[in-house]
Amino acid sequence: MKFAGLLLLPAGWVIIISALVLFSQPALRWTFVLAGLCIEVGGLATIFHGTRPLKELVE
Amino acid sequence: MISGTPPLGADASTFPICGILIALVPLTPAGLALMNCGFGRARSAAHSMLSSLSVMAIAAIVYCLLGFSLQGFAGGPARVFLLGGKPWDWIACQALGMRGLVFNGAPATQGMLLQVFTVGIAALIPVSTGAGRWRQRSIWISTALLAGWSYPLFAHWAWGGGWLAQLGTNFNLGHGFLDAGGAGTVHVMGGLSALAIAWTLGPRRGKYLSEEGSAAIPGHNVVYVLFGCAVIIPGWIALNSAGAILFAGAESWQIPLIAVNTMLSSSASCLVAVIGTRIRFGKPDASLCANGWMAGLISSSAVCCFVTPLVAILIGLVAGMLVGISVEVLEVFLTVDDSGGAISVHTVAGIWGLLALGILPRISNVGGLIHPGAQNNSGQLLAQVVGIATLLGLMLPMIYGLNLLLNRIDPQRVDLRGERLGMDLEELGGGAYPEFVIHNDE
Repeated sequence: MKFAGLLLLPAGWVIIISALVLFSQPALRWTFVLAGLCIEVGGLATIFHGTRPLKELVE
Repeated sequence: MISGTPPLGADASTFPICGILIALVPLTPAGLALMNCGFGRARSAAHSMLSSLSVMAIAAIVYCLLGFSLQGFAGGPARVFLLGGKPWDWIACQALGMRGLVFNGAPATQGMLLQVFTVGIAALIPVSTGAGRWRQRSIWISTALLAGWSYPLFAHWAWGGGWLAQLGTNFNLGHGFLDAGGAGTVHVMGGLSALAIAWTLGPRRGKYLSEEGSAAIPGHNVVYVLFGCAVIIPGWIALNSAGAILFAGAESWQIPLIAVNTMLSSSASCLVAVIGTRIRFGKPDASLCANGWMAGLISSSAVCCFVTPLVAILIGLVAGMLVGISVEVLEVFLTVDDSGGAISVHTVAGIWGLLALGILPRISNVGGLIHPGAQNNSGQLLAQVVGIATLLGLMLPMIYGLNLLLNRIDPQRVDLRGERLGMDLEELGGGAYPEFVIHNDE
């Protein structure tokens, strides 16, 4: 699961960079940048979920 | 290979003052080392201090031999590619071992010297998070990766005339990504490395018991922690001042403003932590107050030469609140064992500082960099957001991936016996306090 999060993080970043290159209107740029940020947050959440300590390890 | 943007900031007139400031910067890693030691357990105290010292040494050597050639400086040789008709300066190509650097008083030499220390500061941050379970050999290798690759790469983009610094000229985003004192380049980088280490190592034994949830493992010496907070102040003011002059175009006459902003931000943040913990727990919590103090310092790093003292207080107030919440969320809800709160302090406060630069009003006479009436806050905010997104979306997976790989080759975590025995006895063969038995479990 953490590897899925590891892929989502750069995917969000690529969307943000693409928004800079492809659009010149601030509104469009912001929309895609926020979408990219949401994907990054999703990636972070996935990694956090995937790295939660297992019960066997902590008991 | 083409040259990047012309150098900002320092010239021959600022050389002596920058030299004095940089000479004070080592107080920052000294304070951090004390804090790392105090937040850890007594049975790993000597290991923590030795790790901090060796991290500084390895970071300095690797950065000078390899890192600086990848980072370079604004106006130096760099690799550039074209995308969407715009130049993207992504990495410097200086000769290895600083052979391309002429020590003739040029600002580039001072920028390099400052970063010999800042790269060590970034590498010290994960040492706190991995306290009590991170093998020394792994600390060294992880530090070498940070100092030789991850840090120089982002530092080139932000401070070395790279694509983040050029967002203003290429995409009309304010003045490009601004980070005067290293909130992003040093602290968020270090904080994200700490997060990667926490994920890689897992929590300390006994931290998350299935029935009790998160168990508190208090630091062994809060005096070290608070003394570290005091030691760090002159170093931080010097770091912010030198960084602002060398990387953000500030003038030497702005040093008093930078010092006041740094002090006010940390004071406000610490007071919020004092009041917040008093309301929450009935008495102020010294460790969280120290975290509050640090959060104010870190958030001030991004904005130190760009805002008025009143805005610096506001930034500190918010930083103190954010870190208080973040420490608890990370430990209790996200089950990340971060003994000194380094991830919250450095990452969250650093990101807040970078964002605040795009949100809050800036002064209009910083070395001619920002002009009255020409402030493009929306564009500047977008530039800051792109910088933060790069740290989270590109640098974090890179650092985490490298540490996972390293962990696969050579496990980074000490074995169960070593963790119970303590890192001092396990790796150094002797304790930090041999005359005393401090805890029942020792």
